[in-house]
Amino acid sequence: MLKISNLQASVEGTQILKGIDLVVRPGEVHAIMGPNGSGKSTLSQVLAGNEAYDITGGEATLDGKSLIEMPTEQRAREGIFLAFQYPVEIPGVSNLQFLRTAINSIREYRGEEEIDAVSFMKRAKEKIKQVNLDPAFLKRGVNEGFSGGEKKRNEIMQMLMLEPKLAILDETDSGLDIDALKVVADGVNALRSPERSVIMVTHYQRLLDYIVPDYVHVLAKGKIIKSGGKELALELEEKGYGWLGIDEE
Amino acid sequence: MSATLSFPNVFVDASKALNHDEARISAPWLVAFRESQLHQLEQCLLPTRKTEDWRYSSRHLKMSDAIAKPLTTATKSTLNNDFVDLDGYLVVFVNGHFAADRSRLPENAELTIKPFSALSNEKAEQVLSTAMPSADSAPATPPAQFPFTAINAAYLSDGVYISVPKNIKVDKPIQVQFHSEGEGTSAARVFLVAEQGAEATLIEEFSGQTQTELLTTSVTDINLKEQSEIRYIRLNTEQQQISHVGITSVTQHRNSRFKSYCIGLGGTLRRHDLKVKLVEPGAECSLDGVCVTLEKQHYDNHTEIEHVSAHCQSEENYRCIAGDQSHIVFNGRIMIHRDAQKTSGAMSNKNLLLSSSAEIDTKPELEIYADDVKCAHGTTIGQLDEEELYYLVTRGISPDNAATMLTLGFVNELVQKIPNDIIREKIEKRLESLIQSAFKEV
Repeated sequence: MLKISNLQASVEGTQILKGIDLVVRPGEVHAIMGPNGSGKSTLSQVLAGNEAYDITGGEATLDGKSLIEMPTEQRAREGIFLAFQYPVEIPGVSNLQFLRTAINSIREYRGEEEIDAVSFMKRAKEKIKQVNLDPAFLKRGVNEGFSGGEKKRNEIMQMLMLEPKLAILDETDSGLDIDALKVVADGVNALRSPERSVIMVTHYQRLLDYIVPDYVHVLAKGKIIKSGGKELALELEEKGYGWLGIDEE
Repeated sequence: MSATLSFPNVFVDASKALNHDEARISAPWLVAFRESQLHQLEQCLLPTRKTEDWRYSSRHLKMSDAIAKPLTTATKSTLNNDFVDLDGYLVVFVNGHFAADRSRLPENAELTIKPFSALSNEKAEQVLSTAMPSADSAPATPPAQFPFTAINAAYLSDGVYISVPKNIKVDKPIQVQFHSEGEGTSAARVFLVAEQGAEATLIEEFSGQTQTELLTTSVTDINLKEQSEIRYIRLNTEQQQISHVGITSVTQHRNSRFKSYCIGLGGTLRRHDLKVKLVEPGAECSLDGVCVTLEKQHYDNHTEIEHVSAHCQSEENYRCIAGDQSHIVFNGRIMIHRDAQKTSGAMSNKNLLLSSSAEIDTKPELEIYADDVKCAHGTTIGQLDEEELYYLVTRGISPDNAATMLTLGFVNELVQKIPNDIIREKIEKRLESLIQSAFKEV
């Protein structure tokens, strides 16, 4: 599915990613952990296609197609979804209009017909209930006036609507109370299937109690310095990052 | 310079010729009215860059001999494709002449909607004298700075008189359509009075076509008596070759409510002045405006809210979008008289620039002489937000589409407030195709 080799990226001339190697196969869930400033969010943004970051070396492919030169919208249409750490508020553009345009853009790319209004509404109502948000939110502006937790749940709602091949969750767990965390985890687990993959970028082990990863990687100073199974997360929880020779910030 | 030299003589002469030619067929009130306004026109100068009130717009003003031609010939033209009959009351004017066959006037005595030409000579004179500032009350804008009201009077052929009687709530919209075609200047005039407790929705729409030069002058007077409510939708959405200078003057009495929704699209020269006077306690007005210009178009919004009396409220929200090399002006004035204590006023003007060559000049003006008032104003000018664009694009939406969505989103809140579903949908579609075209070319 996703193959990253020796990926290097910088922002405003500062090198952040210094050679990442990672292979994510269909159906796998990978957790990427690491201290602040290790490059976790940069990796998420680079994969999603944020033009603020310059890719200075290496390669990343999704099902064999290079992502490096692929426009941001095309990556989404190919099946990448990024759940933002800080989703923006867009007053004036309703959630419904936004979701419908997104779905239809993706369908058009795949040569499919536009979704009909009835099944779209049905699906939107179903998914918004699934993440425990008030259906009235559908008519409101995108994330407009939403609390932090509501924004995160709205990201999951969008993910459920768009059904991506590869979902990247950028610290989706941060700032969530336990109930919201469960909602987010349920959403991700509902999406898990042999064809879909998930990358969870997180600071804490807590989320991994609810979404059990197949692999855990530790990212530090722009490189993956250790990889293991789910037990690695527990070890990190117990011993901190210092055990791996990383200064905790 | 030559245009300035022949002004206002060329207009005065044209008006005299009009009266001479039509004296036999025109009603006496009309001949008298045109003549009575000529001395005003004779004193007028064309505004220049040094005329403060026209500072940003005078350069778009191109007065030629061609434009001085009175456009008073009725033609059998067809209305534009996007004209929508709302199935309420409809008053259509073509080149200033009342088109009876296209209009739908009320059949009962509950409501008066009549072209001036259908009024008695006495009534017509009375209506026009109330609408025009008399010699002893100085007009808010001195004629020397605003010649277009005088031109409108000198070129007038007809207009509409609407009177909503006491406690009558008109549930069907009153739609007034001014259509102009050809070369020259046309005059549109609306006079509405809402008696005590009356309610109505007035929709003014301007349309037309020209291959050369066409100027529409429009003058609307709205008088709200005690407890009345008027919803006023104005669509300055005609073809971009048409220039338009119009003024809407509103007078509000005790506890009356006036809500306006002005939609302005750019043209060669466009200007709309909206003046609201709150003369008795408890009156409330809310003025919403959406303005979009592209290419080399221009649009000038001048608003003025005058709090004469205490305990009145005003709220104003204008949002403007300028793309390409276009130019928008917003000048919002709130004047609070010494006796207008306990006034509450709020003015907001937000602007969006779609290109680095577009220009928006915004000027809020507050003039406050009372000491116990709440009055706030805010103005912003910005560009599309990169983060918002990126967010939409990460969901598979193309950058063009994302930019269109955000631009429409900028004015959406105000568009949604338009109190007529059919008009609102029409405006939504018009804005969508306009904004789409702005981003497709990039």
